[in-house]
Parts: sequence; structure tokens; C-alpha cells
Amino acid sequence: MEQKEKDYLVIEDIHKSFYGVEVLKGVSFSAAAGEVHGLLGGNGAGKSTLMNILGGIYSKDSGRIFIDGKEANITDSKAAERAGIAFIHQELKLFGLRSVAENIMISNLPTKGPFHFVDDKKKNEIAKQYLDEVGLQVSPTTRLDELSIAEQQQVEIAKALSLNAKVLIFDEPTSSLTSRETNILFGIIRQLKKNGACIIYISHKSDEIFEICDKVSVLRNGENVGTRDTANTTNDELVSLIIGRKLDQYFPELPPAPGPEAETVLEVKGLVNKKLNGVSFALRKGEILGLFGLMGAGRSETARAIFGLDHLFSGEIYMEGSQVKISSPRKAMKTGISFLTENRREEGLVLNADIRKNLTFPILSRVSVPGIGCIRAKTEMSLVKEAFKRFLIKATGPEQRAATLSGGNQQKVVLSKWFMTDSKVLILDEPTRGVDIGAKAEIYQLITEMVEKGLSVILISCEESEMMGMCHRILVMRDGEIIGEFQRDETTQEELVGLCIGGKAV
Amino acid sequence: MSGLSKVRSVVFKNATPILLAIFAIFVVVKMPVFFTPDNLISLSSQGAIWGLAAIGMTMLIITGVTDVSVGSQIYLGGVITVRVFQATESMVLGLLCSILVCMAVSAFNGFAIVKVGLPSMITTLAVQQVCNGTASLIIGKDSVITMPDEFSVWGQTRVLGLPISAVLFLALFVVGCVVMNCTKFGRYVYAIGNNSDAMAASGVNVFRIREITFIITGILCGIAGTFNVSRIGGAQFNMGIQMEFSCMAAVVVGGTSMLGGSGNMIGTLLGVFVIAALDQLLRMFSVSVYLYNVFWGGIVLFTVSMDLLKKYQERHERELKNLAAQEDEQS
Repeated sequence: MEQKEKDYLVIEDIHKSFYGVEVLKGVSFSAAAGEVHGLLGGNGAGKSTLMNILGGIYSKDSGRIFIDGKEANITDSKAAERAGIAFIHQELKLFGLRSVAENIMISNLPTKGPFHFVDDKKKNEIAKQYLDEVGLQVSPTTRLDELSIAEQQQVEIAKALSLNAKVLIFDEPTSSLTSRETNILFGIIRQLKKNGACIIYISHKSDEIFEICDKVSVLRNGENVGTRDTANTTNDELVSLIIGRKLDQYFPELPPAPGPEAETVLEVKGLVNKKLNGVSFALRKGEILGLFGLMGAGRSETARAIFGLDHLFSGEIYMEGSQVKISSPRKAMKTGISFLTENRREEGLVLNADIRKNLTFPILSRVSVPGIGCIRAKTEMSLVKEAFKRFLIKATGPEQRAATLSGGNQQKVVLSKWFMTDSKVLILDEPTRGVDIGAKAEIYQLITEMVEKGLSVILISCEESEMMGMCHRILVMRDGEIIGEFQRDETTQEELVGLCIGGKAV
Repeated sequence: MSGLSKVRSVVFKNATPILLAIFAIFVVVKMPVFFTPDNLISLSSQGAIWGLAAIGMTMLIITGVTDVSVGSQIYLGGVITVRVFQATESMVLGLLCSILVCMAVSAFNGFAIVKVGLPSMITTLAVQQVCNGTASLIIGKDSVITMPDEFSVWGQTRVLGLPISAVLFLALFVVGCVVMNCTKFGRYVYAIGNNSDAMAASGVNVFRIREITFIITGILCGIAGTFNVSRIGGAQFNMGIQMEFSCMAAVVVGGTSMLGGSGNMIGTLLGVFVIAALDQLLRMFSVSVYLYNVFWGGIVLFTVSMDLLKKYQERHERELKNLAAQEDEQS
């Protein structure tokens, strides 16, 4: 209790449910003035819900919030502002076509005279003070959208200071900054800290947490599973807190690699087009084959060619021993090949449709009355419900719009969609990009389960650890050619990376 | 930037003013008759009517909504003025009733669009139909109501050589300018058009501000309605139709973006002059009414396209700038 009384911001036992689903299950943590407190956790861990409660966007079901020793009753965003809490949003909440000064001062514009006209001179003067405080050298009369994203973020910080904010919440502030801009931001944060601000820093990037934070708390499933001093913890410890188990259990145990005697499902010979210079390989039943390489090395291009998205100049494709001609994705799917593209939002999902529709797009013929095409809602729904259970999709229900799901859950929907097609070969292009660490582990688990049931997978990724952790066999590509082949245990991450940036072929 | 792309950039950003300048020179050189007092007075008395509504329309478009019901509100307000005058012989009462009715219509628009969340285009289009129909019902089967001379006093009296409506328009225009540029309310209107979520997060009652812009528009339409019937000396079927289009044309020609968030009153004043002048010019040439419509549609399409091109151009230049900055950093 001693410690808590010293802390500037104390959050005690916060509960919050949406539609009967408990999102926060009694979260407590506290942060002192002059402290940068990191907040880690997977998507859906409750970070943003908790922060929205602090910001007055949501109201809490129970629990208490103390600021500077006094209980704060935060009912709306105005109340949060009065309590001295300010958000620096991931997507900036600013007015692009207005001046910098106007942006900073919008909620307390100074006025003068009998008609209370806005006092622009005073407005610019005050704004200039706050700009100086964050070290941004621009005129207060500049139009905001003439600034870079990093500068706009500094304007948002200046705005928070103008509101007398003592608790500043940064929500993944570096996601669109360059490394130099990140350093400038960290300079500002250190300065704010020196001035006695209490800073909450939300991020996915653990190197940032270690660089800027004094303490870090990890949320998982709506609970605070641990607060550590960054000086006394390790990245591995944080990762295992986030995913709730040890790091070496992060990748699931793969089924044994099929031997050379195993049946070959897909074989390609001498694929050539604009980007490919003769790619040949064979995929065995129940195998996870990794395609590794830099961007533009021909990984995705190979997949696109096999799936009929890109035109082939020459080359042959064999499916279970017999040659097939794949001229379109439709043909590819008929032959039993599915493809999860790297552009989840553009090509993987119909964002405006609900989960149910997204799940059954490729299998509509299976859920509809043959010959008539009318969809049997019951059959469809039972399939969808099964998918929810089997593939661990976290959503309010089958009717939730895909656009409103977290990245990890969107990816699970796309994966389930292809799993349900009963394809023989599934090509996964960057299946865990933009997915938080908890969902990542779940996706790996799903892939493994499907492979155990006999699916063959081609996994494309630019993460070495994913290659090493998830593939039976790894092919390294460069300049549209396969320049190396490894069994899982035969290589190291260093060797893989060295090879694809121009080392010696094996 | 190369010379050509610099020229392109300047042309894109100022297409409308450039075109208007060419047009003005053409008129001055070719048509001295255009500048006779009679012609100018006729122009200003017409333009002032929908120009009043254009003041409110500017605010609405800056917040990001379009209101296509203003012409019909002017129609309805006018018809109500006529009926109230017939019953009470009082022009002032007629004006008040006209203002009240139009205010109520606009307040409804605002509530439906901002609070309920209906799309502004279809909502105001529907309200337009309701107002048109109601006004025509009130006129009755004769389709024209002719009024005694005292009814036309407001519409035909001159102050400083200008019709009262034109003087009123200029005065209210100045007020509008001050409101938009010097008051908190005006700043909020711009800010809402820029990013209404951010405005709400700043603790400002966005609904209230937006509702007020609607109500202001309603009041202005009410005033316009009364002066319109007084100028004509009675009411007739479908007077005021297409006024919303002149309004919108004036606002966009004046440089207010249909995308919301930017624009200004002075631009609208120029826009009202230009559209009223073009209107008069087309009449002087006795252009066929069909060609006339084609011409108006073309002008508005051109200006909104140019606005969009301007936005693209600006974004393109910003991206180039950012790219250059990133390269600097790497080198």
C-alpha cells in the first residue's frame, strides 16, 4: 500500500464486459509520476479497452481509478481531460486543413472583446510555447498537413500539454515513424518524464519497451499477469508472459517430416515467367515446405504462378502425379490448391461482410442446394459454428463484420476459410504478418493440426525464426531461382539470412 | 520539380480562378451592355435570394454535408408568406412564419442527418420533395397567386440604389464572414469538417454545432422565401426550383471543398456574383433552357473535379517532399 500511495496513477480491479463477454477481469496496475510505464499484450488482451476506460470512451463496470491520490470519476472524454489524461493516438486525431496553433488550442481557444471573438494573436503565442516545449520548430500558422507524420504527432503531444495533461498515453506511437523520428520522439518522452509526467507506453516492439520504459506490465486475457522493472527482466520473460507459456513452446511440435518414400502431392518443373527463372520443387504429403528469401526474390511470385494469378511462359505443374494446366485461381482451387495471400485486408477478406459470409465464400456450392444454388442456412451455420470452435476465432458472433476484428482474428478467419475447402495443398504467404504474438502461436498450432490431418503446406515468410520453427524443409530463393535446400535441423538462422542476401549457394 | 510539372501544379490548384478571370475579361471586352445599371440591379435582386441560402450552405458544406432542400424551403417559405399576408395583411408576420417553418424543416434535416445518421443527400432530397409538394398544395389548383401592390413593397424598394434583399444579403454575408472567421463557433465548424471524431474527442458537442449550422440555413431560407415572393409579387408553382443548385454552384465555385473542412465566405460571395452573372448572361443570350441546364451541370462538374485534382496534386507534392526527406535521412 505504501508504494501505491506514492504512485500518481493507480488503477484498481477494473472489470468490463461487452455483451456478456468479460474483456477486463480485474486489472490493477499503478505508475508513478516521472515514470514511463510500458504496456504489453496481444491483441484482445484488453490494452485498448483499459486505455479507452482511462480516456473516458468506455465506462467501467467496476473498479476504481486514482489520480494523485484522489479517486477520479471518468465518465466521458471531457472528464478524462479534466483529470489530466491525454491520448496520443495511433491514428492521429487532428485537423489536417487547419493551422498548427488551431489544432493545439481547439478546445480552449482564447477570446477577447465584447463579442468574444477568437484572439488569434494570443492563440499563436500560447501554441508557440507548447511547440517549443516539445521542440518542434514550425510556425504556429503552418497548415497541419504540410507537416510530416512525426511532426504531426509532436503537435498532438503539444496539444496534450496545453490541456495540462499529467498522464500521457502513447498508443504504438512509432508505428509510422522512421528510426530517426523515433529517436526524436524518445527525446521528447524523456523530457516529459523529467518534467514529472506519468507516461503509459503501449507497444508491440519489445526493443522499444527496453529502451524507453522504466517498468512494464503485461496484460493477457484481461488480467495483469506481471509488472517488471525493465532493468530486471528479459525479452524472453516478457514474451512468455504475453503468450502465457515458455518461449520454447512458442512453436508447436511438428509432426514428423515425411520421408522420401512419401507420396508427392504437388510438383513443379521449370517455372519461368517475368520474375521466375526456372523454379522446380516437389511437395510431399503432410509436409510443410518453407520458401524463404528477400522481397522480390520470387517467393510470392512462385505461389502466384502456381495459383494461376500470374502468367507462366513455360513450366509444368503436376498434381498427384498427373500434369495439370492452371490458368486461373478457379482452376487451381478445383485441382485442390488454396492460396492465402499476403494482403489479408485487400485480397483475403471481404471486410464489409460478416464472418459467416467470409468463411463460406469458397464452399458455397457445398452448403447450397445442388442445381438450384439456394443456400441452406442451417448447414452453413453449423459449418460456421464448427469453424469458430475449431479455429479459435474470437468474435462477438458469426455476424460480426470482418473489418472490426483484430488482425490475428482476421487471419484466423481467412485460414479457417481455406481449411474448410478440403484442399490438398495450401500456400500461406506471410500468414502471421501484422498479427500479435498470442494469435501467432495459435495460428502455428492450427497449421500443425491441419498438416497432421494430411494437408500439405507451402509456407512463405521473411521471418527466419518462423522458417526454422515451422518448416520441415526450407527452400531459399534469390533472383527468381532456388539457390539452396535444407532440412529443418541442417541449418541456422544466420546461414539462411546470409544465403539470401548473397552468400554462397550450397 | 520540372518546369512543366510546376505549371501543371499551378494550373491544377487555381483552375477555377483562372477560368473566371478569362470569363471576366471576355465579358468586359465583348459585352459592355452587361454593366448597365438596370442589368446589374436585376442580377443582384435575383442573386441575393439564393445568395442568402448560400451563406448557410457554405457552413453546411464546410462541415461536410450537402443540403439539396434549400430551394424547396425557399419555395415553401414564400408560399407561407403569401398565405399569411392574405390572412393578416402583415408582411412582418409573413416573414416570421416563413422563417419558423424553414427553421423547423432544417432542424429536422439536422436531426435526421447528424443524430440519427441518415445520409445527407437522400434525406435532403426526400425533404425537398416533401417541401415542394406541400408548397404546391398550399398554392392550390390555380398554380399562380397574384398579390396586391403593397405586398411587393419589400421586394421593389431600393436602398442606396440596390434592392433591400441585396442589401440584406451583403449585411448578413458580413455577419457570416465574422462568425466563420472570428468566433469559436466558426472554428468548430471548420474543425468538424476536418475530423469530426477528433472534435468529439476534444470535448465539444458536435451535434449542437452541426444542428446550429442547419438552423442558420433554415432561417436564411425563410428570409429568402419572403423576399422572393415579394419580388415576384405573388407565388407560382415551382418557383425556387434549382435554386439549391445555384447555391451549391456558388459555394464550390467560391473554393469551398465538397469534401468538407476547407473554404471560406469571401469565396462564396464571389461565387454568388459569378453564378448570378453567368445566369444573367445566359438569359441575355437567350440560350435554350436545355442548353442552359447542360451548361450549369458542366460548370459544377468541372469545379468539383478541379477541387479533387487539386487535392491529388497537393498530396502528390507532399509525398514527393516526404520521399526527399527520407532519402536525406538515409544519405
